[in-house]
Amino acid sequence: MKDIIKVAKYFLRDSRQAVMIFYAITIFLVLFLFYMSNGLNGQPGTEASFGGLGFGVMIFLFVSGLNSFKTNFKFMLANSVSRRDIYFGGILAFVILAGFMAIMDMVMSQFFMATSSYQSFYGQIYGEEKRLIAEFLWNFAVFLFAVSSGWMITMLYYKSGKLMKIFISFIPVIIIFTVIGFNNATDGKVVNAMWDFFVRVFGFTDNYSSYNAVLTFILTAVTAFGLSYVLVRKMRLKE
Amino acid sequence: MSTIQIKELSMRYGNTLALDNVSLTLEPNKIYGLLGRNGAGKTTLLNLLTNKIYPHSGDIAFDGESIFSQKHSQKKIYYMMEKNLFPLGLKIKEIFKWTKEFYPEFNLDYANSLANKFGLDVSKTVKEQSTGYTSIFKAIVALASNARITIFDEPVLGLDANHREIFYKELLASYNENPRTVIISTHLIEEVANVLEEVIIINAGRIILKKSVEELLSSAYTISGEKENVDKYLQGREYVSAETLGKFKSAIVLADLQSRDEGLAKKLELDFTKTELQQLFIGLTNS
Amino acid sequence: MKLNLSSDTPIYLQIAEAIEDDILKGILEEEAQVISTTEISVNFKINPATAGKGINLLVDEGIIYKKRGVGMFVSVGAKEKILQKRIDNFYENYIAVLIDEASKLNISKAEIIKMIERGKIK
Repeated sequence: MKDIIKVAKYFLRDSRQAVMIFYAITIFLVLFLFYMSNGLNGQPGTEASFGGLGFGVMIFLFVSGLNSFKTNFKFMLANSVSRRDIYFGGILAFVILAGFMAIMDMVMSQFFMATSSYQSFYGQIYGEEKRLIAEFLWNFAVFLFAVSSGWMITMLYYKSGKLMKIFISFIPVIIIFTVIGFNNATDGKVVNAMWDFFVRVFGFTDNYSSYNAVLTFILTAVTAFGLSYVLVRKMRLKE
Repeated sequence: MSTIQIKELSMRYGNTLALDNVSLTLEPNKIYGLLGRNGAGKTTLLNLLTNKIYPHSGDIAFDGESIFSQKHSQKKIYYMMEKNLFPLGLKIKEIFKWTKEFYPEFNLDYANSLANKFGLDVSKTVKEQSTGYTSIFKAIVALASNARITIFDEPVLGLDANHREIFYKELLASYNENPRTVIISTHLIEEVANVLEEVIIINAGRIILKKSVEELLSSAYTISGEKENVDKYLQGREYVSAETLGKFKSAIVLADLQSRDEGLAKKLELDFTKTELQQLFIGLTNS
Repeated sequence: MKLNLSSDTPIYLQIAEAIEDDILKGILEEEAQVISTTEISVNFKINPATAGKGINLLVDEGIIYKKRGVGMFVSVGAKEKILQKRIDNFYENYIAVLIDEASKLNISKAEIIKMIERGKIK
C-alpha cells in the first residue's frame, strides 16, 4: 500500500525535467509572441492576440502519458512493485500533475490577460468571464483526460502482440470511415446527431456551462483509467 | 523463513512448452545453482517466480502463501535480471536511492562500499556503463538489497577475472554474515561449482535433477583408458557420456563411488578420476 | 592452508587435513584459534556448508572445539589425537593390506622384515 505513494513520487520525479523544459519553452514562446503582439498592436489595422496555451499542455500531457509507461513499468517491476500499486501510483501522480498544471495554466493566463490580449484555452471556448474555479476544474478535467488516454493507449500497445497493434492503429480510421458511411446512408443525420451530442456534453448550449464538459472529461478519464486497470492486471514483462 | 514451493508449473509460448509441469521445493538459506542449456527454461522459471510473467497452470508459494494471491508481496525477493529493467538515464546513485525506497532493508553504505571495491562510478548513468559494469551495478543492488531470497541471473556476464573473484567473495561474505536463499543461474558451471550448495538442472522445460553438489559429484565418476578396455568396464553399467580420442576413451559413470570396481579397473589399466560438475552437466543434458 | 579444488579428495576432507597438518607441524598450538568457516568460505570461494563440514569433522573427533560467540580453538591433546589417528590409518591402509597380501602370497614374517630393511636402504 505504501508503495503507491512511492510510485507516484517516482513518476512525478521522472516527469519533472520534461515539465520544466515545457514551461521554459512556453514562457520563451510567450515572451516572443508578447513582443510581437505588442509591437504590432501599435500599427493600424493589426490586431494580434494569442492564446490557448492550455492546448499545448493537453498535448504535452497526452504525450507524457504515452511516453512514460514502458520505462516506468519495467523499473517498478524491477523493484517488485505490485501491478496494483503501479496502477494506483500512476493515477495519483497524474492527478497531482494535472492539478498542478491546471493551476499553472490559470496563473499564467491571469497574468497574460492582464498584460496583453491573451485568451486562455478555456476563455476561447467559454468566454472571458473570470470564473476561476470553473476554469480550474475545466483545465484539470481536460488535462486528466489527456494524460489518462495517453497512458491507456500505451498500455494497450504494450500489451498487444504485433497483429493487435496494427489492428488498434486502424481503429480510429475504421471509426471515421464507418461514421462517414453511415452519414451518407442516412443523409447526414448521423453527423447532426453527433453534433447535438457534443454540444450538450461540452456544455455549448445556451448558457455555455462548462460543467457539462468537466463531467464529460472526468468520466472519460475514469473510463480510460478503468480500462487501464483491466490492462495492467496481468500485464507481463515483454522480452 | 522462506520456503519456495513450485507446484506443477507449466508455461507455454505459442506452440512451445517452455516449462512442463515443473514441481520443486527450495528450502531456505542455501545457495542454489540453476543450470540449464540455452532455452531450457531457466529464465522462464525465474520470471514466473518473480511475477514478471504468469503461468498457464500451476502455482508458486512462499511459505505456503501463493504468490498470485491478493495480499502477497514480492518484496521478499530481489531478482537481478540479465535483461536491464533500469531507466537508461538514471544515475547509479539514483538507482541505489530508489531501490532503498522500495526495499527498505537495502543497505546503502554497503552498496557504496561495493561500488568502491569494483571501481564503479555511481555518478554515471546506466547508459554510460559498459557491459561489465552494467552487470556489476545490478549485482551490487541485488547484494545490498538484503532480500530473503536473492536471485542472480548471469551475474558475472562481461566481468573480468578480478571482478569475478570479488563478486564471489563478496557474495559469500554477505551470505556468511546474513544467510538467505540465493539462486544463481549461470552457464559458468565450473567457476561456480564450489560456491553452490545445491544444484538444480533444468532441461527442455523439465527439472531433471535437484541434489547437493557433494551428493551429485559423489554419485558419478570418470573412468578412462584404452577404448576397448573402457568398453569392457562399461558393460552393464549406466554411463552418462563418453568421449573417444583415437585409442583413448573416457566415460562418466553414474554410480556411487563405493561401487567402483577397482580390481577390474586395475586389471584393465583404467584410471578413475573425479568428475567435474560441468562435464556431468554436459553429459546429462546432451540428448 | 592450501586447498586443491580440483583434486579427487573432497574439499571438506582437505580442509580437515590441512588444519590437522598445521596442528601436527606446531603452527597451530593447543588453545590457538582456528580459522573460521566464514574465513575459509570467503578466502577459498567455497560454500560455507562445505567449509563447515570440514570443521565439524574435527569437532566430532575432538581435535578442535567451539567457544560460543568467539570461534574454534585447538583442543588440548589434539596433536596426539591426530598422530594416533594417522598411525591407525597407516595401519589400516598399509600394514593390514600388506599382511593380507603377504599371507596370500605366503610370504613369511622374516621375509617381510627383510624387505622392509631393503626398503630402508633406498
